[in-house]
Amino acid sequence: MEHAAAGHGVLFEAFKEVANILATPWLSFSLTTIGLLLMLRFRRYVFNWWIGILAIAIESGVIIWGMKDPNFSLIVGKPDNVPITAMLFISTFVLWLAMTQAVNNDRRVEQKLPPDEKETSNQKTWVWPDLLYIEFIALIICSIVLILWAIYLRAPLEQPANPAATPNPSKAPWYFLGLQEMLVYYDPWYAGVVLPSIIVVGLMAIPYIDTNPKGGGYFTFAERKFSIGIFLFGYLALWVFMIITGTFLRGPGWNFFGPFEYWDPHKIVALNNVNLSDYVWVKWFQWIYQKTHIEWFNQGLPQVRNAIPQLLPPDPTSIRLFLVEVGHAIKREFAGILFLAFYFLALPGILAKTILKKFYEQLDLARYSVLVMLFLTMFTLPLKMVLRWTMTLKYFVDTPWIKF
Amino acid sequence: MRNQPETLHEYNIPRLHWWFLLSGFVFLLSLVLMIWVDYSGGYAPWLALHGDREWKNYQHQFYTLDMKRLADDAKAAEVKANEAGLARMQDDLEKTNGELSGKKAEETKLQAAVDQARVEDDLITRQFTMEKAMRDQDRSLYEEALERDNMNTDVPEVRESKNKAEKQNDFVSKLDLLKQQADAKLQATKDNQTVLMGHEVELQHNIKRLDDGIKLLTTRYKQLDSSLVQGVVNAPVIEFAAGTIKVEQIIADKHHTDVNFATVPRVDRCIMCHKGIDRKDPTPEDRDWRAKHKIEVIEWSRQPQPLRNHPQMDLFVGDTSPHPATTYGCTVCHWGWDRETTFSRSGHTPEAEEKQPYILDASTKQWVKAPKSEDDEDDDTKAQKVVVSKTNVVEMTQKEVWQKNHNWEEEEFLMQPMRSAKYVQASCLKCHNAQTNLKGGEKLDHGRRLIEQLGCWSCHKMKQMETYTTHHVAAGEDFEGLCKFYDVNADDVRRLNGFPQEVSLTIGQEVNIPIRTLRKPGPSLYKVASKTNKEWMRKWLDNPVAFRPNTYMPRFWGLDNNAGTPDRNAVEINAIAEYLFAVSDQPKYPVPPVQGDAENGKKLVGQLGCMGCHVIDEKLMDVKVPASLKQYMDDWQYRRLRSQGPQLAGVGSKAGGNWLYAWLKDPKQYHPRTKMPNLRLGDQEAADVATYLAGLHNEKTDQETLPEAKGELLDKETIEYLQVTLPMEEARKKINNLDDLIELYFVDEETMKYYQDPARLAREETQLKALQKEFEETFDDAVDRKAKKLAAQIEQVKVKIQAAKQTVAGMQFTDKKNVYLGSKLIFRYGCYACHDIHGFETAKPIGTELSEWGSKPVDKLDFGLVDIEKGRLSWLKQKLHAPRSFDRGRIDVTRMPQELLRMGKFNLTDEQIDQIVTVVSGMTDEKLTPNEARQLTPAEFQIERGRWTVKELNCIGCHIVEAQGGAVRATGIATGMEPPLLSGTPTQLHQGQRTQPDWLFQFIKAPQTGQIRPWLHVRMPTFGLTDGEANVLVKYFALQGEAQFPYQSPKIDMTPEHLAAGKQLFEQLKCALCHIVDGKALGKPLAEIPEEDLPRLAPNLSQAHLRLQRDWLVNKWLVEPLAQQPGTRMPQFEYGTAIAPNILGGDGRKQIEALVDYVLTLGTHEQVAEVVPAPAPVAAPTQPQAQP
Repeated sequence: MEHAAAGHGVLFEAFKEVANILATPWLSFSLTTIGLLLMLRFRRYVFNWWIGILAIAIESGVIIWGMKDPNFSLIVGKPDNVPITAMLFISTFVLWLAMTQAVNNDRRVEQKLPPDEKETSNQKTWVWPDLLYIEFIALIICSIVLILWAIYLRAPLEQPANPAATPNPSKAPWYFLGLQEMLVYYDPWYAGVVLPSIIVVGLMAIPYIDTNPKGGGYFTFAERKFSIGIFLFGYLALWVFMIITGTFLRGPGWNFFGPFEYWDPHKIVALNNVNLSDYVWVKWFQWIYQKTHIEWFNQGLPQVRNAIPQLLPPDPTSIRLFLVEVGHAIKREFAGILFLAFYFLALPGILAKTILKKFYEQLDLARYSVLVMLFLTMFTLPLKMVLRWTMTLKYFVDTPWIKF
Repeated sequence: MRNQPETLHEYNIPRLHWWFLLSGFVFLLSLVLMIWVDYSGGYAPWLALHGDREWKNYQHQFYTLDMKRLADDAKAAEVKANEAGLARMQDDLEKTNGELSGKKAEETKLQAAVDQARVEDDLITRQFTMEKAMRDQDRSLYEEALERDNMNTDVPEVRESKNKAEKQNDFVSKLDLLKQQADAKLQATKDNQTVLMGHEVELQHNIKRLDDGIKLLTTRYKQLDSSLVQGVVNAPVIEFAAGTIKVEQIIADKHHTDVNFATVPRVDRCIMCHKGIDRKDPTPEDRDWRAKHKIEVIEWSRQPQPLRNHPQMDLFVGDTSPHPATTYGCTVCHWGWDRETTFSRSGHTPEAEEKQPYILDASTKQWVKAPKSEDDEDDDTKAQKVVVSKTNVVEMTQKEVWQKNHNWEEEEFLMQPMRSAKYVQASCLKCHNAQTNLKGGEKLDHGRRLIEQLGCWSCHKMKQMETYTTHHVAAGEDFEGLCKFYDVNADDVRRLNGFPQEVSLTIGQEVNIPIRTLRKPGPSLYKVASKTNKEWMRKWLDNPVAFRPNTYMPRFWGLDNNAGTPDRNAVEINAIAEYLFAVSDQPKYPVPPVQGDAENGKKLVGQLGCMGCHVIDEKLMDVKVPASLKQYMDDWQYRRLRSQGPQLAGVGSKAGGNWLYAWLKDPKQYHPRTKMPNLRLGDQEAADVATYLAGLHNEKTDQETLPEAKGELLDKETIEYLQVTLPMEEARKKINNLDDLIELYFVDEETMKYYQDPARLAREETQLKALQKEFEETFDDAVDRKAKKLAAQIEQVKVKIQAAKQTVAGMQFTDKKNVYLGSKLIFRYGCYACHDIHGFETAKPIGTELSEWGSKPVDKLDFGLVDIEKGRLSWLKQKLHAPRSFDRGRIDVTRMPQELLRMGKFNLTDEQIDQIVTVVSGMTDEKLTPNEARQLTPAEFQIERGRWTVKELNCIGCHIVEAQGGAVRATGIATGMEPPLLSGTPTQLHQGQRTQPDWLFQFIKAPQTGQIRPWLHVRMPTFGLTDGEANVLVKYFALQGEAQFPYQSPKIDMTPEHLAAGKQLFEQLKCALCHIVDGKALGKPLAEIPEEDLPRLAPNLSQAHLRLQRDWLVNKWLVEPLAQQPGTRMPQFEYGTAIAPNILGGDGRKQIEALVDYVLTLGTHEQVAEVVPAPAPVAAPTQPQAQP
C-alpha cells in the first residue's frame, strides 16, 4: 500500500495539500478557464522569453519535486502516462511559441509594419534542402527518441486481457481519455457516438466556415481574437484539460483523486446525481406547494415507461402507447425541453444580435447556423460540467429514448 | 534537372550535414542497442541494461553443463569400450592387417574372383527371372486357349500353346540349374575371401560399434565446443536456421487453455529455460562405476534452478511415466502463461514466505542461496562454487530474490498464475477427482478426506466432491442395463444426473455414475434431548474445542466479530439450545438390565478395537505414529483415522449411562446415518462399557458456568429478526404473539409444507368439495375413494396443526421467544447442513458454491481491513485460520449484526489448512474434453468405489489395506492380537486372492464372533451394510487383487491316497499344534489355554473350506507365508525330499497340493475318517520371529 509517505517536511506536505485542493474539478476547471482568459487578455506581458522559461520551469519543478511523493511518482511514472507528462510541456511550448509570434506580429501591425513572416520569407519557402532536410533530421531524431524510450520502458506486450478481471481503473488510450471523460457527463450514446462525430465533422467544416483570410501565412491574435479564443478554449480548457484529468486525476472506480492522493480502490463517493426534472417536480414544485397548497404542484415526478413503437409492420397499439409515453415524457421534462429549445433555437438568434454579430454579418445564414450550432454544442460540455459540480445535475432531459 | 541559380538558405546547410551525420550515427547506435536488447540475455554494465532474453543465459548454462556431461560420457564410453576389449581388438586388427599385407596379391585375386562370380551370377539371375516370367505367361496362354476351345486338347491352337509352354518350362529349368551353379560359385568365392579376410571384417565391425558411441559423443561435444560454429549458428537473424540457442516448445495439443473467448492448445515454452527437466540422474550402479573410474557424473537433481530435473520422474515428464512431457507439457499441471518466455510474465509464483540467506554471485549478477555453513553444506548447494564470506549474506524471501534477479512482479491479470510447489497437487483434482489413493497426490487425498469429515461440502457446494465416473452411452445400452453393469443404485444415478423417473438414453450421451455419495457429517439432533442436557449443549455451542479437542464441529461464538458481545452470544446460544430441545423427540432410555463394571468396561474399550476410531486421552491427539507403522501411515493420517469417531474423554459430562448403553447396543436406533458400527456387545459388555464411559467426566466443562441469557437482549434480538419482514412498529407488537411463527417447527416434514404454502389447505378443501360434488352427481367409486383419501389427509393435517398449536400455546412466553430466535439463528448459521434438525428438512445450505473457487479473481474477494498479501490463497488461508477476521474493524460502525460474517471456526492446524487450500484451489472452472479427463475403466470404477468405502467406514482404522492404515495396532494391542492384514503389504497380500468372495460377503454383512480366530479380543463390527455396499467391498478386494471373480470352486483331488498323504503331512508338520482344529489347539481345548499363549494360536482350519481359496493356499501361502504376511508365525517349510522324502515321492508341489486338499476337507463330511494317532511330539519347526 502506498499511503502517503511522511517525512518530507511541512513545506512539501503543504504543497501536496494545496495541489490536491487545486485539482478539485470545479476549481481546476474554473482556474483553467479564468487563467486562459487572463493569459489572452494580458498576452503582451505573458508571452515573452522570460515567462515562457518560467512556465516550463514551474511545470518541471512541480513534477520533479512532486516525484518525491510515492503516489504522484506512481501515476506520473507509469509508462502509459509518460506521453501525457510530455504533452504538458509540449502544449505549453506550442502555445507559447505561437502566441509569442502572434503578439510580436500584432505589435508590428500596430506599428504599420508587415508581419514577421512576410519579412523573412520574402514570399518564398525553401523546400529543398531546407525544409525537407530538417524534416528528415527531425524524423531521425524522433525515431531515436522512440527507440531509446521503448528500450528504457521495455515497451511491453502486456498480458492477455482477462475479461474476468478487468483493471481498475479501466482507461482508454491517452488520446481517447478526453472522450472517456465526457462519458461522465453525457449519455454514452452522445459522448461516444454523436459528439465525436460532431467534432470530426466540425473540424472538417472549419475551412468552409472560416473564410476569413486574415492570419493566413502568419501568426496573429489581435485580428482573430474570437476565433482563436474559442479554439484555445475548446482545445486547452476542454480537450487537453480532460485528458490530463483522465490520466492523472481519475483513479479506481473512476473516482476523482488529487495528484498526491493514494488511489484507494475502496473509496466510496456518493454520486447521487439528479435530473433537471427532479429539481422541477420534486424540489421547486414542492416548495411552491408548501407555500400555496395548490394540489397540482403536489403530484411528484410523473412516471414514464419505456415503450418501443413497432413500425415494421406498423402496430397501431404499440405506436399509440409510445405516443402516450412521449406525452408523459414531454410533461415531465418540460423544463429541460424548454431550456434546450431556448439554448439551441433562441440563443443563435440572440447571439447573432450580440456576441456573434460580426460573424452573422460576415457569413451567410447556412454557415452561421453551422457555426453557431457547433459553438453551442461545444459549450454544452462546460455547462454540464459546471452544473454537475455545482448542483449534481445529471441530464437536462431524461426520457427512456433520449437523454441529454 | 534544371540548373538553379544560387539561392539563399534559411539554414546553414553544411551545418545541417553535420547534424545529419550525427543523428544518423546515433540512430544506428540506437538500432544496434535495440537489436542487442532484443537478442541478448546479457548485462551491459556501462548502460546498466539487461538484455531481454534471459532464457538464453540458461540455455548457455545448460549447454556448458551438457558439454561437461558429453565429455564425461565420452570418457566413460571409452573406458567401457576398453573394458570390452577395444584396444585388444585394435591390436588384433593391426596384426591381421599386417598379415594381410603380405598376401596382397592373393587378396586382389580373390576379390577379382568374387567380382567375376558376382557378374556371372547377376547375369544368369536376370535371365532366369525374365524367362520364368515368360514361362508363366505361356502357361496362362495355354490355359486360356484350353478354356476357349472347351477343354479340347486336340485343337491345334491349344496344342501349339501347350508345346510352347512345355518348351519354355524346360528352358527355365535349365536356367534354374545354371543359376544355382552360379550362386554356389559366388558363395564359394566369397567363402574363400572370408577365410582370408573374415577375421578382419569381424574386428572392424566390432570396433566400429564401440567407436561409434564415442565418436557420436565427441562430435556433439566438438559442435558445442566450437565457439566459431556456435557464434555463426546463433548470430542474430541467421539463428533461425539452425541455432542451438533457440525458442523451444512442447505443443500439448490434447490439453487446452482458455484465452479469453477461444480455447487453444497449450504451447509450453517452459523447456526453454528448464532444459534439464527430463535428464535422468545416474543409477546407483553407474554412480559407483564412475566413482571407481574417477569419471565425474552430473547429478541433474542437484543443479540450481532452472537446470534441475523433475523431482518425480517416475510420475511426470519421463517418457515411461504416466504423464510424459511430450504429450502433457508443463502448464497443464503447473499453470502459468504457457507461451511466455520471460520469468515474471510466465507467472512464476514464489513459495517460501520465510526469509533465507542469499549471496550475490559475482559472475552472473544473480542472488543464489547461500550454503548454510562450511561443514554442513548440503546437496543442493554443493554444485554452487561460490566463495562465501559472512558479510555478503542477505536474508531475503524468495519473492525479494526474484524481484532482484528477474524483476519479478505479480501478474495481476493472469488467469492461471503458476501454482507454487506447495499447492501443486491441486492440479491433480481436475482430472483425477474420481480417484483416491493417488500416488503423488497425498496432500490432495488428505485434504479431501478432511473436507468430507469437516463437512465443508455440506454448506458449500463442491462439485468436485461428488465423485463419479462418466460413461458414454454406446449403441444398444439402456439405463437399467447400465446401472446393472456398474452395479449402482438407479436412484443414485438419477439424482446425480438430474434424470426423470423414466430415463431414455441416446448414443454418445454422457451419464455420470456415482462412485460414492457423501453423508451429512454431523450427528442427528432429532432426539438430542434424550441424549444430553441443555446446560452441556450451551457449553458445547459456546466452544466445542474446549470440550473435545479433535472435534469437527466449528466454533461460532467468541470469534473476531462477536467476541466483543458476550451477552448477545449468550442469548443466541441459549436460544439455539432451547429450540433444539423444544423440537426434539423425547424417547426414554431404560436402565440397563445388568449392573455395569467400569473397570471391565475400560478393559473392553482397549481390547475390542474402539481405539481404531476413537481416542480417550486427549494427550493422545499429539501422539505420533510408532516407527513400526510408519510405512502404513504418516502422523497426520494416524490422527485422522483415530478421529473417525469423537474423542471420548469427558463423554460422561455429555451423555448418561442409559443413553450410552442403548447407543452401544444399537447405534442406528438413535441415529440411522451414523458410521458407528454395532459391535454386537452382550448386555454385560455393553453395560460395562457404558458405565466406564459415563464415568469419564470433563471437570472443566462440568465446572464452567456460562453467562446468563439476559431477557432484554433476547427481546431486542427477537425484534431485530422480526424486523426483517415486518415494519418496526409491527415487529414490536408481534413479539407478544409469536405462536403462528413457531408452530410449524412442531409439525412433521409433510405438514410443514402447509405452512410454507398457506393457501394449500384451502385449496385442498375446495378440491375435496368438488370431488364430493362430483361423486354426488356420478356415484363413481373411484372419485369417492379419492375424496375420502383427501378428506383423511386434510383431517390428519388439521389434527397435527391443532397439536402443534396446543404445544405452542402451552409454552412459556420466554420459551416462545427463544424458539423463534433459535429457529432464525439456525437458519443464519446453517446448522442443518450438517445435522438433522426438525423443521429444517428442506432448508438450503448457506455457503457459497466453491466448485470454481480456484478460478475466482482476486478482486472478487473482500480482504476487509486485514493486512495480508492480496492473493487468492492467502485469503483462503486467512479465512480458514480466522473466518471472521475480515470483519475486523468494521463491527458496530459499518456492519449490522446480521450482516456479519457467519462461517464457523474449525480447529485446524496449519498443515490441515494447507491440505484444504490445496483441494479448494484445485476446484477451477477449467473445462476438460473427454480426451483430457481421466476415464476409469469399469474395473477401476469398482476399485475406486471400494477405496472410498474403505475410507468412509474407516476399515483402515483397524486393518491395513493397500499398505495404508492399521491405526489400532498403535494403541497397545499385542502382536498376534491385531486385526488381520487385508491387502497391499509391501509383498502383495491380497484379501481377494485369499478368501472366497461368498465367504467375504457373508462375513462383511454379518461377521460372527469367535469363528476363525476365537482368541482375538478385537471384534469385527457389524456395519449394517446393504447387499450392494457389501458387494462393493467384495468386488473391490477381488479386482484389486486381480483374483478371479466371480469365484469358481476348485477341483479337489478326493482320491483317498492323495488325502491320506495330505493327512500324513498335516500330522508330521504338526499343523494342529497352532491351528485350531476341532475346537482344540496346543493340544488343549480352547478354554483351557492361558491368556499369554493366545497370541500363538493360528486360525481355525475347520472353516478353511468355506473361507480360503485353494489357488492362494497352493501357490502363495504354503510357498511363501512370510512374503505374504510379514511377521506371521506360519513357518515356511521346505517341502519335498527335505521334509518328507517318502510321501508322494518327495515331490514338493504334490505334497503342498495334498496338504491343502486335506485341509480343505476338514470340517466337511468328506473328511478322511480315521486319524492315525499322532507320533510323539518332535521339536516344532523353528518359528520365524514375528517382526516388531
